[in-house]
Amino acid sequence: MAEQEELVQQAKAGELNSFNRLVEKYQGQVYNLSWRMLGNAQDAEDATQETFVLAWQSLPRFKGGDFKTWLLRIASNVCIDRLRANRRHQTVPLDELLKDPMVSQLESPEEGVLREELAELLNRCLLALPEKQRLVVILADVQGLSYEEIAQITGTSLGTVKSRLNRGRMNLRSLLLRQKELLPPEFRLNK
Amino acid sequence: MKRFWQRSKCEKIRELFSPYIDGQLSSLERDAVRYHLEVCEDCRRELESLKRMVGLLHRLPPAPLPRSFTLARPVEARPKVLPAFTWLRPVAVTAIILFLALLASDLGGLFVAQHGPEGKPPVATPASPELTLPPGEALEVGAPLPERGKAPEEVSPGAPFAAEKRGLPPEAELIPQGEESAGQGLAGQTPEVSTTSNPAWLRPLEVALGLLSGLLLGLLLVRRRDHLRRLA
Repeated sequence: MAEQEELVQQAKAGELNSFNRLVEKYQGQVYNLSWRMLGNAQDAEDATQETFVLAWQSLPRFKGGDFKTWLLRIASNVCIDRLRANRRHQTVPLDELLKDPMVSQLESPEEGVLREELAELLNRCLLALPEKQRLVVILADVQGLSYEEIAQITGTSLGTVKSRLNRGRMNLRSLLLRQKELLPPEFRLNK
Repeated sequence: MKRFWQRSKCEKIRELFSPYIDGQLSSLERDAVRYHLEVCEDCRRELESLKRMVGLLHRLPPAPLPRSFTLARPVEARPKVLPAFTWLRPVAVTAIILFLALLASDLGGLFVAQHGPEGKPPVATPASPELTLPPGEALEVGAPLPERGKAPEEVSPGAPFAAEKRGLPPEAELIPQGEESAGQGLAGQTPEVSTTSNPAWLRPLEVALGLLSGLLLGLLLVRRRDHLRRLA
């Protein structure tokens, strides 16, 4: 943590190498957030690059605190701006998503990792959620962040995070139940 | 089939399921959820289903990175032109509205000259025998009005200042010819008639509003030109 603080200070002073070490540390998290929010690899790549460029430009105004939270806040804003600019990505009906399967970016299944088609189904259902609920569900359940971190990233109160997460999970569950025949027996939600 | 109050109770408890799973409830709320789960099988199933789904999400594999996102060189910040327009836009709109409203009403006849029937420029005419302008000395439209107290001496030296005597503003005495003819012998009447359509306090207000809107429009044009230059 102290090392990260030092890197942030050096990056603020204009050290590009220090900033790039921070990029290497967090690029996976930023790319994954963008990919799950936007739903395709090309948009996610562009959003990730935009996030790091904006972070570099805004670094002089970074007033300390958790760098990861700050970075994910920029990434969230970039994703939401892109979704708003390109409305076709926003809350696409699940039926349409299922008609037009996107190319899976997921690696071959490993031990303890979901099967490819199940992961793809979950991704599609996530894309069918309203963008604010989607963001909170991804941050909490996919990225494993705490309620406090999510509140900082989304710029909302803890109460808002709780209610958005609850509604997001409930909606996601309803969407998955509509596709229950696609779920393997061990993952049936309503058994 | 559950009664209404039972459904409502279930809905309230289900709102707490998500923080319940994450251990984010107070002990009081947690006990309420546990108590309800003991007596409601539907909610037990609902919670189990939600837990299973959260478990699925936790196990989603990460997407592989397509490339490295490190920066090859420092990227300069973009010039801050747009924020200026962000605040300038409502100001410009206000200025335009003010200007148009001013032109539309033109309460003081500041911008639109009120010509007489023969197309002559408005000439100050005596409203009362006491105040007279020398013949041919027309009052220019838009020109600053004579100041209170000075005007009578400049216009007609030596003449007693009738408006001052009545406690009326000097503008009340200066009526354009067109108005006079339309008003059928206004000169013979008391000057109060003209003060109702042209109150003195409106003139400086109009001048100020006109100047302000012009200034803001000019500022907008200058900023726009700068913005286009930077884009080029």
